[in-house]
Amino acid sequence: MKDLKLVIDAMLPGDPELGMPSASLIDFNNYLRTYHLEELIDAFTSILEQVCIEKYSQLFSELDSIQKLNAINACKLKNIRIFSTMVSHLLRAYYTSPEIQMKIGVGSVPPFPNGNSIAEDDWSLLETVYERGRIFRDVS
Amino acid sequence: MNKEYDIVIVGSGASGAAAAWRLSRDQSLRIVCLEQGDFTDPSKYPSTRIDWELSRAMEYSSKPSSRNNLADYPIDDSDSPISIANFNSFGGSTILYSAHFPRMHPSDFLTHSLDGVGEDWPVSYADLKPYFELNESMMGVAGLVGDPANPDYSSLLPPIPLGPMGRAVAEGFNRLGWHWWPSYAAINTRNHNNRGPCINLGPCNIGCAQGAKGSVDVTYWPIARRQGVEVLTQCRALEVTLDQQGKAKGIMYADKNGARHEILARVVVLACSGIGTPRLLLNSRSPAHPNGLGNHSGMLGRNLMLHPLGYVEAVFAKDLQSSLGPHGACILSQEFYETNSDRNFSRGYTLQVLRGAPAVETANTGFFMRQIPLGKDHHRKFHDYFNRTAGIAIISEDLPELHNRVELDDATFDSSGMPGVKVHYKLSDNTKNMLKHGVVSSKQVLQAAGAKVTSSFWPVKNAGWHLMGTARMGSDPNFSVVNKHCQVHGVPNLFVVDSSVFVTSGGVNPVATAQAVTLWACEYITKHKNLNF
Repeated sequence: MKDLKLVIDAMLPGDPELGMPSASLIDFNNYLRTYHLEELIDAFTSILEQVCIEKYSQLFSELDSIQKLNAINACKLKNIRIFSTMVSHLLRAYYTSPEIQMKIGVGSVPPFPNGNSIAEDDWSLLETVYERGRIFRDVS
Repeated sequence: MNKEYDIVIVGSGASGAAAAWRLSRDQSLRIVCLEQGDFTDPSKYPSTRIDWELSRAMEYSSKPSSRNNLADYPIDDSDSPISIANFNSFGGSTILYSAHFPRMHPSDFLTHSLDGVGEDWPVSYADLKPYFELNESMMGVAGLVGDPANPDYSSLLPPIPLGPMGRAVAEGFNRLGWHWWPSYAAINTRNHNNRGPCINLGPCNIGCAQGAKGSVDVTYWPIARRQGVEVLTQCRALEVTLDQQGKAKGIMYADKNGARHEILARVVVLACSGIGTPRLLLNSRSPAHPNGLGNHSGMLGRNLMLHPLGYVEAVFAKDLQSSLGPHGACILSQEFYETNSDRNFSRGYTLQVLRGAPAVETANTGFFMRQIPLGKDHHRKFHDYFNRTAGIAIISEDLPELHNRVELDDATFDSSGMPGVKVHYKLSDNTKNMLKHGVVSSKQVLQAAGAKVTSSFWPVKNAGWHLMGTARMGSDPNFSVVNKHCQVHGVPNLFVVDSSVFVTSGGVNPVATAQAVTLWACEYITKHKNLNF
């Protein structure tokens, strides 16, 4: 398949309301190279092309957005292992990209100059637990 | 080339490190530790990289089969609903553990007398108490004194912060009138023993680059090495060798190039885990010990206990920043820890409140659980889950059963040519009933906290971290492998000091108790002038 960007944008389109970019705006190709996933992409896109022809008699690029997503999800029935691996890797690539981590509010990110502060606790919450008295078993 | 030492320790993990430190306080002793893994470099831990979550499926996975590491050995756990988890490196599995550090309870050492199940330990909580305290001081344990579910602690570091999610779940426990307490965790919450405090990054279980988590490479080992213990990494122990009197003579091992050597020592201390220790002893076959060394009773490798886990997850309506903070350490509840005759099981369990999943895990789990779809609804649904989830892990007390066992697998071999292991394990009805009860209880808590339960299941597959019982301690040599001092029956200068010797498992993470037992055994060793056993 010529345009992987079309596929991954159908899987993870942008959401302007939440300020989230589509998948093609992260460097997915770099992720694929880093983890040597070219064969997986070939296998997945081959299944997807087959599904598009069988289901719609069209190329993926000719489908509307609902049809594209249906075609992608239909790949699960063709080969669940390849489908699951593809989805996992796309989600991993997307949610480990620095720009996405900033947008979803993961807190401090590596190299962790400061860490995350968590507010002091109010231990009066434990008062009822403490007042109940000992609950471990006497073995004497 | 043969080398001579006073003591050889096999394994550099939780117990091996504690043994190395304790025994080397006598600096006249020449001590060496063999470790099949390599040193790790905290500055290169995945948590120093933005893509740290990916490493959990790769080189820092808890599954040996996913790591592609020559230090690992084959483990066939296809006959077990729970997969074995470990990490073979300097520091052992403490590099990846979540550092939960509760003690076993006094009743855990007397299950047969109290409840007619399992066996009594030949040592008591009172025997081990000073060693629990010493160990907690060395490891740096955070918590809060005054817990009504445990005998009192004399000193702890300040507790790990609960965070907004922890407070919400605590209120759920309070609404039910159930016990809860901040987790006992080997995580510095202030400077302690030359280590800095936790800065709430989250990913404890891929190595703590901050050094706040008490993995033994940063607690016991720096001191033990200063006290003179030599460490040989990438050296795999193959066999305990014997002299003509039947005493341990040393260890035959393979170095990283596969060359064989024998280390001679007056005392041999094994600390290779509940799987690695029986593997080494079973592989130490000879005409005098055709079924493995220390296996006169037939108990070696048997009584494997794994602490089957249940898991319940729920989502809150509000963003509670639940993914921030040490993932495994927040709250524990021991409301259902002790036996209650109104329930359909003996003994009990601990509930551990876990923080929310990080981003990749949220997205992936959400997709496969049909909670977060692909397509235009993805981001909205992700937003509804991320930083809003909480989990409860149910750690059930696993009772010893002979058929649950580890045996050598002569069909598979590690990189040194040593046989791998097969694990045979089944959940008992008692455990199943306990886990069902734990799942119902966990749902009640989370609902009382105002969260919506989204998933629950048991047993958790990839959770076989707690490896216990396979070289059990006992007074009768016909039913045990070691005596109360962790000395192998019939081989007086051979000791097993890891969680293999556990008689029962308790319902808590085992490291605190395993290290207390190690220190107890080492005290006995050092009392023998000239190591004359």
